[in-house]
Amino acid sequence: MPDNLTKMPKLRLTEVHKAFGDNSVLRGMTLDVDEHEVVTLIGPSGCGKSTVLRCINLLEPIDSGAILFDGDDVSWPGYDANAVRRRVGIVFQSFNLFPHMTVVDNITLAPRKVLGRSGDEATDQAMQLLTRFGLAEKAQDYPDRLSGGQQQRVAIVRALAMDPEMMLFDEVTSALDPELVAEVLEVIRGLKDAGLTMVLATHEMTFAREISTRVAFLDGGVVAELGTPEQIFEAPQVPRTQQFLARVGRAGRL
Amino acid sequence: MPVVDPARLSVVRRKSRRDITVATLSTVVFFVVLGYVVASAPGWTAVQDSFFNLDDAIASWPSVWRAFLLNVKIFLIAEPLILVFALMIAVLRGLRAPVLAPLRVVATLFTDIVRGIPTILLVYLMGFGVPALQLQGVTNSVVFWGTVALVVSYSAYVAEVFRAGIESVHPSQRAAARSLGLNNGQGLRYVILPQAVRRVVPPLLNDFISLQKDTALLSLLGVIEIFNASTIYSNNTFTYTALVVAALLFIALTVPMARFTDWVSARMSRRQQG
Repeated sequence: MPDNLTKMPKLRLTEVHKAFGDNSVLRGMTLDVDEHEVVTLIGPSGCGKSTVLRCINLLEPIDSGAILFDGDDVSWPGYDANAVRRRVGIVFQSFNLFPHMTVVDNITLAPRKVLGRSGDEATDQAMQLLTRFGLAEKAQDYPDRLSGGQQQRVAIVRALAMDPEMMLFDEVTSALDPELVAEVLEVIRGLKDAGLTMVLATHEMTFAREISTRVAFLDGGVVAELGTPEQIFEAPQVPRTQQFLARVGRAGRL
Repeated sequence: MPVVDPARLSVVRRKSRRDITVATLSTVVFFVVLGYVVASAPGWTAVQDSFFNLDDAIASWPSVWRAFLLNVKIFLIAEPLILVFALMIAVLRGLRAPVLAPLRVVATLFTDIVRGIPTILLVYLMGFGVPALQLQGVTNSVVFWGTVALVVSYSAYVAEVFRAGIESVHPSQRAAARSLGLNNGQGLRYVILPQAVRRVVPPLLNDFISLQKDTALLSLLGVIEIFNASTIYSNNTFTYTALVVAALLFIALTVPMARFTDWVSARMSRRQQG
């Protein structure tokens, strides 16, 4: 095998551009994520955090550049998007559980219909995951009966049930009451310990600092600064990073 | 144990008893006054004799009832077909695959054109026109082609109801389905349609009720359904009681259905919301 392939990161974004109408959101974003790495995206509103995650999951087509997953450019028009989504899970800020299905049906739907697992097999796996995250007794409930924190944990379980190789988290605690944030972050910590490759967009700076292998500060649709949590939070080099962290610190979120 | 102040509770109870009494009294007064106004109208005795004659009601009952069963039969056959066709049309209109573009165009044209034609004209044109073609191998029954006209007309309306339901499901649900690797068809079938259909149950019932009543349009084709049967009786006796009987039969059909749908909707939302 050629040397450059063995060194290929799990995920590589090269010069990714994405505009909505006249509004350019990503303006040449470049980022590598290695296997078992946890990369956190931080930055001001509108910096492109959510958009880049939606692009990686191919929920939004990109305009220019490349998204390489295990070396394959999955962003090229016509690439089998469903094949990529089977391998990359995403969890949204607004949970997006299916309200007409019980918790266990939410979790088993995709494994049964996409992976072709039997009902029993999918249910067993769902119950194992629910038990692991302390949600076993909620299996037969409808999502609207659950607290926000429980709903978000179910959404994470639903994505994990597809056995993804990588997980994307799009500000998964932003819609939660403060006392419910901890239970969701605890789940993500557990996933890191299990070695899952993850990309997170978050406003929880303390958490970003604790969990990340690397932190990317996004501004104006590009990665303005990239480094270890210590480098970014303790000695940021780029003025925009310094300003952003100073503002966040004044708001008491650091 | 919840803490409840007994004094507070007794005031609330007293007020609610008073509200019920006032509501009952005002309802009784309203209907007594209404009855008095109608009964004291100068033509009341004549109207009573012609429209609300018990003897005529009993005498007309067998023929009106038998004809009504035909209306019910037409409705019971037409409604499931309408639901199937309408859902198909609504789904076709939402498809994006380029190879299906002709189907999408046909579905759009169908709803646009059919909704533009009054149902009464469609019943006339299909009920008289198609049998006149004397096609081999298809029935020339006017009941059949009249029912087809109703199915065609209502499919166009109900398709738009379904489409509105499909579009009312938030795009994030579609994104969630796609993010799990479900393809468009699976997302539609398991995620979008179940939610869409639940939301449109009340407007669907509205169309059901319209359809039940529009079965009477087949009278134009000479079919002895309830409107024709009761008109025949009325014309023979110079009274209108048979028509009132027909109206009451329609009400007896639609009101239970309305209550049933309310019950179904309430049960669905109870299950989901807890």
